[in-house]
Amino acid sequence: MKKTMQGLGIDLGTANLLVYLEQKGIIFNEPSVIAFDRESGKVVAAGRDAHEMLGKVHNKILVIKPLRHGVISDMNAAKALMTYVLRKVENMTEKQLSMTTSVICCPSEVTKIERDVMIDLAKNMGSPDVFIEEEIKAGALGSGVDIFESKGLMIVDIGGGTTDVGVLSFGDIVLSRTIRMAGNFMDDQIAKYIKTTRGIEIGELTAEKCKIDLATLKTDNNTIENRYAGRDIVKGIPRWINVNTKEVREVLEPIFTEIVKLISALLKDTPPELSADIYDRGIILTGGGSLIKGVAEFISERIHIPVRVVENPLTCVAEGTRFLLKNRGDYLVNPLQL
Amino acid sequence: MKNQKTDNGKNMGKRQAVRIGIDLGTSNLLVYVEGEGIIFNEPSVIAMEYETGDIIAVGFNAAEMIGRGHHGIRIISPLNQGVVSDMDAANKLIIMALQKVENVNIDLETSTVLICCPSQVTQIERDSMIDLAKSLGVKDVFIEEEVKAGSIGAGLDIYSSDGCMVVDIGGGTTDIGVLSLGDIVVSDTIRVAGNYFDNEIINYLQYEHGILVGKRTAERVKKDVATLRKNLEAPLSTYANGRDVVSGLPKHVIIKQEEIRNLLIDPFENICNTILKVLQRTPAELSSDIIKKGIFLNGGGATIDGIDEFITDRVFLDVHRSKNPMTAIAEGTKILLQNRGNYFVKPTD
Repeated sequence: MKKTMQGLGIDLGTANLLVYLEQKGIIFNEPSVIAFDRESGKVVAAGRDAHEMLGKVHNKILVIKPLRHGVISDMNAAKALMTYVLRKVENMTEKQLSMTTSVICCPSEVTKIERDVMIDLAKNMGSPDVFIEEEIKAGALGSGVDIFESKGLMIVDIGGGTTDVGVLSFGDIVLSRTIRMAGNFMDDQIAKYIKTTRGIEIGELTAEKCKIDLATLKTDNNTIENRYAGRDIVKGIPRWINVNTKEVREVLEPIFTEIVKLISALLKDTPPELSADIYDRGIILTGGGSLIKGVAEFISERIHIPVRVVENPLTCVAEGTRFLLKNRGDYLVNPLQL
Repeated sequence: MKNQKTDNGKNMGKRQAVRIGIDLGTSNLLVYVEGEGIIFNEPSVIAMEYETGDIIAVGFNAAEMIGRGHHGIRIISPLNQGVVSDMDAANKLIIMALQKVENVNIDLETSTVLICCPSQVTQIERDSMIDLAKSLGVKDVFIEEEVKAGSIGAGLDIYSSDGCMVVDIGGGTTDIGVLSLGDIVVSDTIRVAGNYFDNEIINYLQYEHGILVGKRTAERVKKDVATLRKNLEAPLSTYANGRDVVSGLPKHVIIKQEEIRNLLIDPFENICNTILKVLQRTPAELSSDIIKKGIFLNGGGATIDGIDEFITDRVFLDVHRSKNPMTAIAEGTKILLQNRGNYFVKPTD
């Protein structure tokens, strides 16, 4: 019976949803956003299409981000989104779904209740066999690091809703800490900054675009300037504004300083033997936040430990589920050798 | 195809069910019939005999009679400020308009009818539009907003997530809407539009020139010289004939373009303020789309000289006139009839 079960790995992130299906690879990699018709409750769009609707809809459409700060805040929407992905994109039938083993990834510091919600979600979808694993564990595996040897490793995952810092050894987490300062928080801060300095309100999508275009933590590079449009908060008319990399850096620096503080706090609590390993192997960075230019230098300058960004920061969690599905997260079994 | 329900066609002989789009404007009535195109594009005016209620004229012919009728003729504009004010007359007007169809024998009972209305009308006013269609014997009727139909007719892709702003300056109402994803996000309607300008002209001529003129004359004066340009390079002038207020004798006056411009500035300031009001309520993400695309103008008011410059000065956005300001709404109904105004079905032409 076990052989017939198909593995399904889900990285249900605040910003992006990735679904890994055994034998097929990553079948879905789009923003975790879903749009409903208000009257009929039907799904109008999901993923990238729904993401484009953010802040642009008329009152007949309801656009929802089912996750907030790494955990499910809207169960119905989360379920609809998952169902949409599996049924529409992958054409999976109910019967096929009842033959799956699912692993859902979550931030390391979530409550039992929040984990149970994730399990409920998969059960609701029709997947009978569900287990929950930490995102950092999957992320480390997905980036090609062997976490099953007796060597300590530190991983920092800067996602959409949460930043997760963990120390791994022997195939599991030794200690970890989560803060709710990550991609979305950066967008909010950028929007807030522009509102206070320019008197222009910009939308969620524009703020995100601004971050992607201009975010850098390098201090010496030439400033790039870009033009964005928003609404004048006094007059209400649309206006263009210029934003440069220096300003965005000013906004991002305090956030990354907080992340560095969190890393140092965790390092302080790390058992000395593992500290020695971390000193050798360095820190690995995953998640969308690691795409910001100069982030590795920024962290290593402050804590004097080598930091490197993995090759696939956005997909490593989903890729890591491939291994976790093999050993069901059991630290004794090294799936890399299976 | 879908529009030819064969079962009904058999029972009704040659009568056919078609899809009809009606732009029932305060000043003009446009009727679009599928397969035929725009079959009627004339003023919404009807002239009836007082006693019998027989129809004497509709459209242009009836409009010619405005202010010239005798006591045997009743000349009616069935719409007032964008909504139906005389149900019976509106009913007759549409029936007469539909008779212009040549090739199809319309079976109204099984046809689908779309009527356009201003965006900010009460439910009762909308219901009166539905009642109007029901009184024609139509069972399948739905109401859509004029701005929506107008923006489609002007060639904008409202089904994308890029927002756009449309200003429709009609006869009775000026409608301002921000559209995205196939429907209206924010809108506002003010009752300052073509007819209001005419009345302003009538009042002005009465007080400044001591002459009483009719609606038709005021409208002609507006069409001749209306402008909103700040600097008039070669000012035009026109004339108006009417009755002297004091002596009661027919009188002829010359009107300068400048006078009309100064007269129009106030109502258009009013329209600009409403545009600003709508922009204030627009979500920031759509504001950023509007600044890229600019504002699109529709309706008779869009043909006024210098209006783009006037609005740009006040709102600081690009202003584009649609190619077919007068017929855009009726052309848009063609698309809306296909998807019944459903925002998430993008109709293909």
